Amino acid sequence: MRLKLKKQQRQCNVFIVCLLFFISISSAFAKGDVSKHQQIMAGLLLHLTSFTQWPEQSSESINLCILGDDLFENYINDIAKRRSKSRSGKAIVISRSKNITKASVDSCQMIYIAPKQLSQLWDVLPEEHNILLVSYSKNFIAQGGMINFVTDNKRVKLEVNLPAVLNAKLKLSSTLLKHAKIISGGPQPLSSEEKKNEGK
Amino acid sequence: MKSIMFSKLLFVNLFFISACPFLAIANTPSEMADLSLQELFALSTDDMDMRTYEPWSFNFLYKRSKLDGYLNGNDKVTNDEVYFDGGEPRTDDNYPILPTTITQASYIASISYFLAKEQSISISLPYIVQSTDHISLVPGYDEFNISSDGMGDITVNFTTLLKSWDNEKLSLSVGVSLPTGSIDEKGDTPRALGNQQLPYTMQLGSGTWDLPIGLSYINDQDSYLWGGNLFAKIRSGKNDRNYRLGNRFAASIWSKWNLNNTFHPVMKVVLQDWGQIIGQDDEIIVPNPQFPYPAGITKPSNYGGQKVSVVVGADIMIYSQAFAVEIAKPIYQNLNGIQTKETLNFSVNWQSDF
Repeated sequence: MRLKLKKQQRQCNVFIVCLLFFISISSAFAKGDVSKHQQIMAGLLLHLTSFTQWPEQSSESINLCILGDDLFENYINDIAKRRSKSRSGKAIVISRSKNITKASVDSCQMIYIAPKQLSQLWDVLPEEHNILLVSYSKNFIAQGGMINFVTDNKRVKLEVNLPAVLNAKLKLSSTLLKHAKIISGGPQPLSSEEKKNEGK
Repeated sequence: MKSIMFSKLLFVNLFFISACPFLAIANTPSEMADLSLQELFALSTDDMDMRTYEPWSFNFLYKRSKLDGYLNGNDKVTNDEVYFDGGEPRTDDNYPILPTTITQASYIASISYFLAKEQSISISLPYIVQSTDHISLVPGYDEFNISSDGMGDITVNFTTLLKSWDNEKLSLSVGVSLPTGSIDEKGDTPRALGNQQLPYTMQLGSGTWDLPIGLSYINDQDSYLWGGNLFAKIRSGKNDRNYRLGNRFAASIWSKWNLNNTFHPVMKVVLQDWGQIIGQDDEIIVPNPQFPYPAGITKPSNYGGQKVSVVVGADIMIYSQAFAVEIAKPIYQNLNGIQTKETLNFSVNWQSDF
């Protein structure tokens, strides 16, 4: 009996070692891969900074915070290097935080939150804020998110929760809204100056 | 022998072909930076698996297969030829107990947790229900049925993307199959009165720690996808009943058409190769030195073989729920010794991300 148990224990150990070996090898392989889907989302995220107007005009930069799991890795930074400013001329600063704390949220004008960490965001987000919230999750809009990426017929599209956007005193351009699926309400009109900015 | 060599060579070849690097051009960050909003919306993604980035995924798979009729190698033999009814000489190729129809159903619930978009850990819990109709020479057991059901072997799997190109993906899956399924199932057989140990086909697990490993390649051509899968289940040691099921290998090639957002017809060709049982459960043989096996399914060398199946089915997306329905029909079977042949295999899978 003891011999049998010992034999089973040894087999179990061999399998665990094999599994860990494969996991470490394959993790090393997988590192650095940003799929085309993620590349398009990264490009759109940066575009969102140009099509959104924040109430605080004084800020010289737009802080884009990637919270939780990072889908975009250095790819988004590389795009941002080529297009480091939004159309309004503000610098785009990308920061990342694995942990979702009040401090990691406070300095952001725009947040991309990974679906896995969504509930943590709602815990720390102040009731009143001017942060554009973006994610890629089925439940995001229903939970009060603002812009959600969806995949439809192999194209990345946007869902916009307009009441939530307006609640945060943010304005989205009509050009952006034209391409988005608006969940409720209608597009907020932009001033003629804003329209001029869009045309640049 | 030649066909075994051929299928093994084919398996090895397919493995290396799939593992070869593919030429593709990726979108560079500077190319992406130059694209307008409209151009980004117009780009086609490589989101081939239709899932979003939700961290959890639940899968429920129902599989049913039916085995009916006999093959000796790849030659068809009738039930009368395999059944020893006392009127002809007893040989190694006929048996006084004959399973006529075997039905096997599995209900497999799996839950996956995505560590990252293309990296997940999953656990699968199978529940197995099987039943076999028999005829026999033994009085009182002219026609009888044996069934067994219960938890099968639980599998823990890790799946990761190895490499992706513009419209291609190569993923690896490795895991451990735990010996949680019973190998002590008992039932009333003609061997003796009351319940006795059942043959290998009626057991619910392998009794050994097994290593499932798979490699899958997907190529997305926008209007259709095609790909290939390689799978192996390597058994280790021998179980408490002193036997080990044969290793299993499978290679498949498939194509899926993107008719619209909800309906994707699928066609597949699957080659399977599995080995005979090593060792023997001494409780299921009879004390007859010349003919110790009362039924074909009690003989370890009557297991294993090769099989090629054609699968037709569809992936259906309804309200963010993914369903897959498949029907498989073997078009070639070359089995070791005398075995019941598979006639049809049906499966339906439901996947929900949350």
